[in-house]
Amino acid sequence: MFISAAIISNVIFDWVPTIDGFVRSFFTWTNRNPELVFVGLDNFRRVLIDPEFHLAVGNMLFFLVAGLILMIPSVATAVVMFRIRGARLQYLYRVLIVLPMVVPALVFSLLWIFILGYDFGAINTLLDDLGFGRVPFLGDPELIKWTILLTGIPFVTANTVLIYLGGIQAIGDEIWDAAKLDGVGPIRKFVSLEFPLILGQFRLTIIGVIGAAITTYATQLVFYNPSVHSGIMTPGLLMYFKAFPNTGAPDYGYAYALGLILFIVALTLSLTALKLLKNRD
Amino acid sequence: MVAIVLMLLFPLYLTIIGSFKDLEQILNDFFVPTLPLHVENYAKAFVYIAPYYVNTALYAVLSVVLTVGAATVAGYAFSALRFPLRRPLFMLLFIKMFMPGVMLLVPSFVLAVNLGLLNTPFVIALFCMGTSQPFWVFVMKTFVDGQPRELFEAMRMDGASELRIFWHLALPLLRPMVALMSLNVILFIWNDFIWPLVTLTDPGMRTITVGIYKLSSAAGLDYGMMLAGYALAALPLLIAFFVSMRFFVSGLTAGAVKL
Repeated sequence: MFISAAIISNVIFDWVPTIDGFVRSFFTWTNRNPELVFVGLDNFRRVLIDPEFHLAVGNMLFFLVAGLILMIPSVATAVVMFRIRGARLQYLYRVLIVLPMVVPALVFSLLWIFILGYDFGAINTLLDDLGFGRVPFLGDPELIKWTILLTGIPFVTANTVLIYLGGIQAIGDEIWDAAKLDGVGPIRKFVSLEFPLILGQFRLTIIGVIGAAITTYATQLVFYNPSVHSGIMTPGLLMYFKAFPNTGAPDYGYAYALGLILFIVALTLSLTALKLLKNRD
Repeated sequence: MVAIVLMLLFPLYLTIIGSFKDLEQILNDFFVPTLPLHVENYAKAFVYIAPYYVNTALYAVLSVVLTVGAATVAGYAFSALRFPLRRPLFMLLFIKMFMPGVMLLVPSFVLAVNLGLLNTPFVIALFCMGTSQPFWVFVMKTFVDGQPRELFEAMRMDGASELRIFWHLALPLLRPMVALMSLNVILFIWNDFIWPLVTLTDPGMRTITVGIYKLSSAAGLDYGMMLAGYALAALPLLIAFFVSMRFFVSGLTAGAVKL
């Protein structure tokens, strides 16, 4: 009796869509003609040969590589925070880093879109005043990827920083005192003490970053406009637009098949993460 | 470190100072505070935002009650009680924890259409409840596992019903966990964007995020009002953050372990 609400809600609103996602990937139907027609692997074939999909994978890889490189600032921040002497000051930084987490990410994206606008955006006005000329941050398909990255400045994720910090703080003060006595320099301290301490967390974060690059697309959706289509389309966003197109009828078969492909890729990663966790124990 | 914090908070700073400017001040002096303050931006934005506040608060409360309620009793039961099919049912939830949610969007939408849930508060709350159970039941079970077992046993010996034991003994012990869950569910509902965007198409049902997403086109050239709207979207949680800072800082990190 105690568990029924949890189990029933999970089965209906989580398991049912999951199984449905598997089964109906092999069917096609439309809103007007809801009769299911079995098409075998045809939906998958349509996804895999679609040039749009290839483009999306390319863009995804860009965000993936960028995401991996941009893990560095969070590591650096955690180390710097750890080295700050004085508990109060460290706590203050902790508070200030966590603060933006309670603001919807959408607010930041929308603000950036406003600032980076071509005609009225404050940054373009500034560039114009300085004599550089205006930059189409939001309207150029080549530039849009970099614009999206730019809006991530300073590339520090509060969650990740605090997880790393927890890792570094896991060992006692004696080790640090001993290192100090031995005259270990700041770089050496990072390479042989701090980084090994967070290696487990770092590995998991890598999986998280890869998973996020494959499965998240809310930012791309907010920055989307038709003129940057080719530069911003990722597989997740493609799935979204197939199911919820701005114009025309949804292509559910395609969206289901693409969703399943993304699911399998992300699941493989998730299982790898699990394996890494086990190895650590 | 100071630079990083400044960069993190810079967009927030721009939103807040911008929300007090009129069009001319925004176009001429965007990056610095200007006088006079145009408080009327907030009045105008509030008229637009207020219904979304009400909606989002309603969805959040409903989601917290359902999600936290179900996960708390289930987590307790999986830890403290013995019943048939206990392990397989727990596995049913546990497996789901490792399944990425990316494929769920479209099938969930189709399910919501078929159940007639579109444009109702339940399309937010029930799906939040269902998909959150694996993680939170697991967290709750782990937490109950760490509580002293003898207490429960003693009460059981005295002939107290399981419901009584849960209500009078377990629940008070679990309070910090319940608070942490509630905080994370509220934050999730408040910040969620794509799901409410596709399931709440009726403008009268929109959440705060969908509301401000549509605000940029509704505001036209009234940028001050638009920025005030953005600020208002962030405001309630910012206030809550400052009121119980310690709780937020620890609570958000605990939720972060969810990888």
